[in-house]
Amino acid sequence: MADLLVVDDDPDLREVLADILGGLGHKVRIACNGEEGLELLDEELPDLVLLDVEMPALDGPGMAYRMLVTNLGKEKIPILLLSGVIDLHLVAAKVGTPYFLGKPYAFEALVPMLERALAERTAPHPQGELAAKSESPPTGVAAQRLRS
Amino acid sequence: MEDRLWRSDLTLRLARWSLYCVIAVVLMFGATLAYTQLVLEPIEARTETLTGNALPSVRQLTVARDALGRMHGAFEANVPQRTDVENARRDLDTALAAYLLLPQFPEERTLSIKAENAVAVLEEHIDEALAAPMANRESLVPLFQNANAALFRVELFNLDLGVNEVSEIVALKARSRAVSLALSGASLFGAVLATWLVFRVARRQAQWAVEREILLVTRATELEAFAGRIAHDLKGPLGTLTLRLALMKQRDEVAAEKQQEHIDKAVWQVERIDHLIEGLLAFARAGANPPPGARAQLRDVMDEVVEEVRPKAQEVATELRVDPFPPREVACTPGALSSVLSNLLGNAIRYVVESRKPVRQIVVHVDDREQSVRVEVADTGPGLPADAERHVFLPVVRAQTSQPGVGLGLATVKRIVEGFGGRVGVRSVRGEGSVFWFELPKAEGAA
Repeated sequence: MADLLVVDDDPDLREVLADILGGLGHKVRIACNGEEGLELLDEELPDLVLLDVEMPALDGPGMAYRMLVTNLGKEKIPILLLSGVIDLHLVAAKVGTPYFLGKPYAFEALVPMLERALAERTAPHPQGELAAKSESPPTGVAAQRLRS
Repeated sequence: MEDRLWRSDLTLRLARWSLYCVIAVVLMFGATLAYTQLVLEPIEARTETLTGNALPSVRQLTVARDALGRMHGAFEANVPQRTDVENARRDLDTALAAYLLLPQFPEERTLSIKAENAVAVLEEHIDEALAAPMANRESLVPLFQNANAALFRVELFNLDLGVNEVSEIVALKARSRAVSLALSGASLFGAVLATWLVFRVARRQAQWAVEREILLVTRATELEAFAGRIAHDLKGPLGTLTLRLALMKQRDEVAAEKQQEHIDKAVWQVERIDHLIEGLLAFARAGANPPPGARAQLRDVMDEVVEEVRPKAQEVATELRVDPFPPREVACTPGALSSVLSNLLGNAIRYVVESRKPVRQIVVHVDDREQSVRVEVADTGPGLPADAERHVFLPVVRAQTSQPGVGLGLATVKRIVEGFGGRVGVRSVRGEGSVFWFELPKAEGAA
């Protein structure tokens, strides 16, 4: 059993994911955006963050960046990106995570990816823009910049 | 679009004027050639008179008078030298014969006959004088004088003729130079003007080519971003739907009540997708081919739309008020106007709930202007971020919000309003609220 944090702005998807992951025996916490996700991280570090890319308040890459710069163990948490953005592999490359699934993904694809991420637990190694920015705080348009 | 049409019209006019200029230059060049030919003809005729008639005549007559003088001199000696006289006489006859071969004017003919006669009379008496050397030579003096005077009059006539011809040639040349200068100057001006106009047209064409290229690239980029957004917005509900169906498939043992909930939510996701597709279609069709002469009574459409959305406003405890306004007809179809108003009011209701103010309010105000009618929808919502005002009317650019919506409403409003010749805009203060407005031209004949 693993401790999972689901961060997505779609309430219906959050509910379904919680249902599926809970059914697999995992402990699931949910957040509706990056800001709320970070608050939950402060309470307790999960084994894996399932992260959407485009969200209000603070987007997925923005939250990944905040996890990286806090350097309090959050940077070691593996991230599984779940999003419908085009060129998700590029976003994942910039966030530095090897785990990503483009929406709509099948249940049969989600479970192996989840198991792989939990088995390997590879921490993100951001490249390029995400790694380079150290002064300006992340904003909601980070995902757009990452995709450009 | 209007600006492009105006510039296109201007370029067409420039091209037309450059063609006129080229035609004018060609005509002026032809006129210069024709005039030069016209002026050259009399100059050549007069030059021919001068060089082929007057000047040779003067020369032969001068030679003749010289021979006459020498003959007279020979007779004035005590013993006339016959050889001198005969030489002089031969020269006189030769010169006179040469002169008589030249063309003569009618007025000159009388004078030349007189001279010819005077010389003939003189030569007759010279023959007699030479036959009788001791005869009275005094009688020859008036004959010499008479012949000399006759020859001088003919010479003078030819000199006058020559001077006259020269004067005419000088006058003709002066006049033709002025006219040629004027025509050449006009041709040069026309050529410079035509070149300038052609340059302007060519430059405009080059600018257009660059602008078209930029526009195409921009549109391609926008289209790619737009397609990406649409794909993302469709994949979201599809992803949820896929997982929910997988969940239902896996847990067929769960209670019927739970299954029903899954089905309801799956249907809701399908409706969400359908709603997005409908929004896309509305956006694609918005403002395209507006019918000419379209008109709608703003008050009637406003009443219908407000009645439709009022319950939604009440659901979120929002006061919806329309300031009183006189009946006004705008140049737009009632359906399109209804879509614009319901999009703006729906948008305001969606966002006003995010306000932290105790009172939620949406106020519609109609401003009657000279040529148009302006409708403002003011809300007490959270307002827009500073940079959002520039992009809020672009397709699928939503202000960050938790509220549902396909993100095409404002883009649809913009397309409809601009399609009917109007314009849209927004002013907003973060934390205070926003005022979305649109202006439509008044219907033809409307006050």
